Amino acid sequence: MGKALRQFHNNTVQEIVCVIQYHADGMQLSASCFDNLKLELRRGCLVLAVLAQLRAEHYGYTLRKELANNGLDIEESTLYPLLRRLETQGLLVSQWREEDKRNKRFYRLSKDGSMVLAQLLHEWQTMGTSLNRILQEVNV
Amino acid sequence: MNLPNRYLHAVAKCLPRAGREDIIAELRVNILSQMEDRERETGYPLTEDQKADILRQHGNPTVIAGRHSTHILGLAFGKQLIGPELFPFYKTILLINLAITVCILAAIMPVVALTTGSTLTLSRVLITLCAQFGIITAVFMLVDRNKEQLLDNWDPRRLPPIKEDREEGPKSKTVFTFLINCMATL
Repeated sequence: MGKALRQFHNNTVQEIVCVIQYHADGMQLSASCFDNLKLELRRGCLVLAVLAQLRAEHYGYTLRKELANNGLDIEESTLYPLLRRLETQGLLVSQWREEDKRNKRFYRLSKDGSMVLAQLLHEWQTMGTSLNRILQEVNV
Repeated sequence: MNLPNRYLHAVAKCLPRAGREDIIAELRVNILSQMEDRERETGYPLTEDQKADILRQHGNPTVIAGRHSTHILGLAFGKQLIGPELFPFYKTILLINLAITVCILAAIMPVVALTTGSTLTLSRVLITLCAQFGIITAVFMLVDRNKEQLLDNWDPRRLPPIKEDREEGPKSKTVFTFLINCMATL
């Protein structure tokens, strides 16, 4: 759990520093470089969003819809494997259950998942505060 | 032939046996729910083209299978050379290739010794194996570098039909069939 948090923190800080340098230096980064940075920045946020959304139970498709309704589009090919990975890590629990005459696999946050989500949200808020402070300093 | 079934069949062929049924069952529900939802929105049954669009949105079967097969594995010397989508196939093809090479070398060693009187040294065997490793790795690196063009440019309508006699699954599947299926989806 600690390792995951450290990795999340390190990755996100690296992306923030890169984006700030990009704007500060006026560097013309290639489109693919920017796409890679955006992808890495999104990766951590997606985990956070999925964990937060799964405080209420969902199966894959409705979870994707809910995230999209909240403005976060996530590809099926990313979301469905991610759900399984988070379950393997013990952050989610799942259950096959019949709904509308069809067996569906419903996911929800586990106890460990709730703890990790709280810690990640704290990290997220701390980083957001720090970033805002840094941006204000740059603007001054 | 039902397009979602053909898609799921293509994904299943590239998945490892462990957990395959579970992954496919979950993917099936998600795909069918999405299609039903779209039909409710439009008020009409989906055409084959609309179904194909939804499946294309889900991604190339090879990529889907790769993402489900492994979550973090890849080959990296500094910059990542082979990403997690292709790594399971890289590993499988590399192992099969090296195993075949070892078998061939083991078979021809006595023949070479009898006919020419010379023997294959360990260094020559290692050079052969290293060359195999290098070539396969290079091919996969190229594919990985161009995967957007190679893997995104696919059409669900061109997926092969499901053959009834192969329904029993991977136990009867030969290595050759596995490789051909993976290459076909690429």
